[in-house]
Amino acid sequence: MAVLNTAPIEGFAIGARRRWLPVSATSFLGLAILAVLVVLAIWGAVAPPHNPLATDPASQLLPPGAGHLLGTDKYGRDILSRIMAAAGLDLFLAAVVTGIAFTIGAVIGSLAAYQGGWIDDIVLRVVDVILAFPAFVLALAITAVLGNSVRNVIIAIAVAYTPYFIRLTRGEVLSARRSDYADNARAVGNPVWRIVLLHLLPNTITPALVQASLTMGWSILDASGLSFLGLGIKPPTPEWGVEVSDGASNIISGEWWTSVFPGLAITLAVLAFNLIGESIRAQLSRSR
Amino acid sequence: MTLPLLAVEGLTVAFEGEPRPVLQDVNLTVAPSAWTGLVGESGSGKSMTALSVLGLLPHGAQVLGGHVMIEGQDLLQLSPDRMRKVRGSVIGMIFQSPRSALNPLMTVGDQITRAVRHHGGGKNPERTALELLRRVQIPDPELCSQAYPHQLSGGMCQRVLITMMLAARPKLLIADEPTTGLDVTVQAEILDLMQSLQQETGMAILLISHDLGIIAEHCERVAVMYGGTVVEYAPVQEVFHRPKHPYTAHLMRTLVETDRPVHPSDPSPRLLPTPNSTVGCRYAGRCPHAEVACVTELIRLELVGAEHSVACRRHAELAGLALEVKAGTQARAALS
Amino acid sequence: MTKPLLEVVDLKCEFHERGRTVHALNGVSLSIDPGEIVGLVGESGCGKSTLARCIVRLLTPTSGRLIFAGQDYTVWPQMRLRGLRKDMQIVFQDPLTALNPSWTARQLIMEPLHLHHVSDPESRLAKVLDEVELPASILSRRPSQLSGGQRQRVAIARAIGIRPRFVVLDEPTASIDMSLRTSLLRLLRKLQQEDGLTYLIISHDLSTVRHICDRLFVMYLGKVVEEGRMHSIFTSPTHVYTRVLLSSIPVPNPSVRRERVPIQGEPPSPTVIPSGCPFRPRCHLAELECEQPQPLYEVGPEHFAACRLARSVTLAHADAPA
Repeated sequence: MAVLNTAPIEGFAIGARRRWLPVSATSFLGLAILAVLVVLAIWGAVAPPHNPLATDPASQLLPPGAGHLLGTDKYGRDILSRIMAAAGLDLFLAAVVTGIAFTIGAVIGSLAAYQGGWIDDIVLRVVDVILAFPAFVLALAITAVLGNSVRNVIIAIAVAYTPYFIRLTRGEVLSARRSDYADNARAVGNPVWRIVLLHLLPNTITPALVQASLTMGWSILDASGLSFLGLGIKPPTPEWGVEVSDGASNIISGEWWTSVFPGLAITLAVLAFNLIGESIRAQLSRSR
Repeated sequence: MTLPLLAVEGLTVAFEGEPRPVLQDVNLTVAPSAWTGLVGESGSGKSMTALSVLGLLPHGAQVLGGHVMIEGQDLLQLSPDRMRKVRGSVIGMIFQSPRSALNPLMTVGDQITRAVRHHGGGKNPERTALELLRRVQIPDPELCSQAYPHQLSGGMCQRVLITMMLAARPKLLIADEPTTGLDVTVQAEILDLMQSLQQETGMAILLISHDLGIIAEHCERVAVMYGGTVVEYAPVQEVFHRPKHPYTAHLMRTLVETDRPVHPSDPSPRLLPTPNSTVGCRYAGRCPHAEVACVTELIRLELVGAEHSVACRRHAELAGLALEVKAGTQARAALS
Repeated sequence: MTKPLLEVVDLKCEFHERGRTVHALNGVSLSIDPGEIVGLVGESGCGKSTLARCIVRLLTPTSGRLIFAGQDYTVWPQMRLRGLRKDMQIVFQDPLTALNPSWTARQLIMEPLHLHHVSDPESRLAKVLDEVELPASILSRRPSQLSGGQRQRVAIARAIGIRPRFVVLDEPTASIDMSLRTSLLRLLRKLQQEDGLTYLIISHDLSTVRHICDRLFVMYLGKVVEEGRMHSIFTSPTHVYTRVLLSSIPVPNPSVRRERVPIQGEPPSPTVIPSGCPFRPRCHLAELECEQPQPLYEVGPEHFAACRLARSVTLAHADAPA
């Protein structure tokens, strides 16, 4: 509107720099929690208080206290050490899954959007089929087929989430494709791959970043869910879902710490990623 | 001199957290039934002035001082309810991008009927709506009233907005860049329409534009704004042929052909005014005639001729210099 | 007789959207000689933007021919066009949308230099910056951090860095403040003289075009209705639409009163093209014969108009606005 003509707003636009790290209460909290989890993961890999795999029949089901800050599980293993070890695995898993889904999804989505035609049609139909299944159910099915291992869990969850990124990137690139700067890039002499990767993608990637953050959280949930059900990652590998599963039966007998603490870890991780994703989204809508 | 219909006095508006006010001591009058123009570059504050008059300032903008007098009332002192009554019935406004000012989900006819009803339309608002559409020279009023805004061209949408504004029979119409973005033939038609409506209804018009051409063709008096304040206010002939403010003279020079070397307004580095000061001339940084006193003294819009006001402390000395735009160059511009 | 640099022969371009056919270009022919600055004016719906895009092959025309430096490139595939793009560039209307918002000015200006293998791109960059009168400090900024005038200059630098022979400028002054318009036009003229460029300037603003163009084409609904040397068209506008157009331009001089040539009806939609003269439904002087296709009649030296009024030349001069 005519209001945008006034000097202060124009000056603001000229002076402002693009900030990629949103600094707000939401993001600060999310990043703080994530930082804690990362520290725990590193600590757990390097020098955990106790060996996460060492069983100790004498110290079974000890409540939280000195020596075992979060108590021990039914095999006498220190829960804190197990949570720290699991943090490494779960975060690693989340990062790999998200990385695969994001990269493959962005490339396929943007190429499909730019080229259009039958390529786009095929991609869309495949995406529709995959998205017809709830992500967890699909991951479950794929893991059941492929077998239980970390690698297969990664593949299964990545397959479930790649379509989201394809659709998201495709939508963004479809509208960016019509823009003047895309035409300009073509007029200057750019081949298609440069237009898509160097011109269109950088401008359309931010919604995918929001999705990526959320996917990190969801993939931890899915992996934990799979192990809780006995698929995917199996005990004694420390993984939050495995630990929740191990301790589930003990809740009734009153030893709540065996599953509550790992469960809390999952919750905090997902919360952290959601907060980060939300603050990126808020930043995005503000700059638009 | 007749009492003005609208008198803006010393209006100062700032955004929260901004050291420099976006409007600084704006003084402007619009006589009843007169057509006044408000020109300036983007960022000069002309739209903000209009929004201040209507009480439609954006979020974060505060009025720091001044009066907006209309029919003896200071609009800045009115409650939101009273202001709402003034808007539309006393002052109407049309904007740029007419299509986005219309409700996309209602037919044009319904919107006009609503406007008619809101302003006491009498027994048959739908009939009145059609009559109004006829008055703005829309060829097929019945067909048009059943259309949605996205089905109409930009020019038709602007005519619809004028119709809605007419329903209220305001005494003053503020038109903020009403024809920017429209084709030149459509622009000519809309402005001609506004002219004939003005003669019919006797309403005053404040035309805000950066296009000196339409200002020259239609306005009787012109106010020139720069950097948030009015720097010159005079009858249109005076502003175009005998400007007294260096900025106005600069504007007039940009109208002539490009072969003529245009004197660049080099900023004089020693004279840049301090950012948040309320004294000093905002144009000093670009003015080839600026002196040190221009930045340190309080510069006000002063009446210096029969109807000519200027905000320049050196206007008397500069009167003899090359501020005058020669009649010959104007004639050449006329051929374009 | 110099060979024309660009020839457009009977170009037609149609789009199909939402079940309707948009006839953007209905047989446009023009030719531009090396070193000329040619203006193309018309209002919304006349097809000038479509023509610009067809010329630089961002769009493929439905029929007709496009010839650049003697080579017919109408149906060349995109790969083959890359060579042509070195010689033919386009500057879009709004640099805010035409420049990639996440690239810096340096990246934007350097990219064509890299794509077309310019030797010593750094010194070319410095030279181009100098030519468009931009300081080196803007190089690290993104388009949103530049003023409107600076953005447009970056867009121009991006186009001329590779020393093309022909540049299409689509509404170059549309998104710039009026006080900056003069300096931009002056810059364009200077670049044209220094680098021997040929321009096609598309505008709806006749006063912009007046100051810089040698020849003018007036378009309406996908056809050229009048063409000629600038001075000739402004002193003797012949086609009724040209007369309407010229009389509608507001003159920034309150002492001058211009008689408006009347126009009736609403701006047309390019989905329905009237037979014969496309301006016929809105023309106050239309006659029965205007329903037949109007050829370009000669009005004067290098001045043609597709209007029956051109035949009575004395009549044309009598009606010219003062």
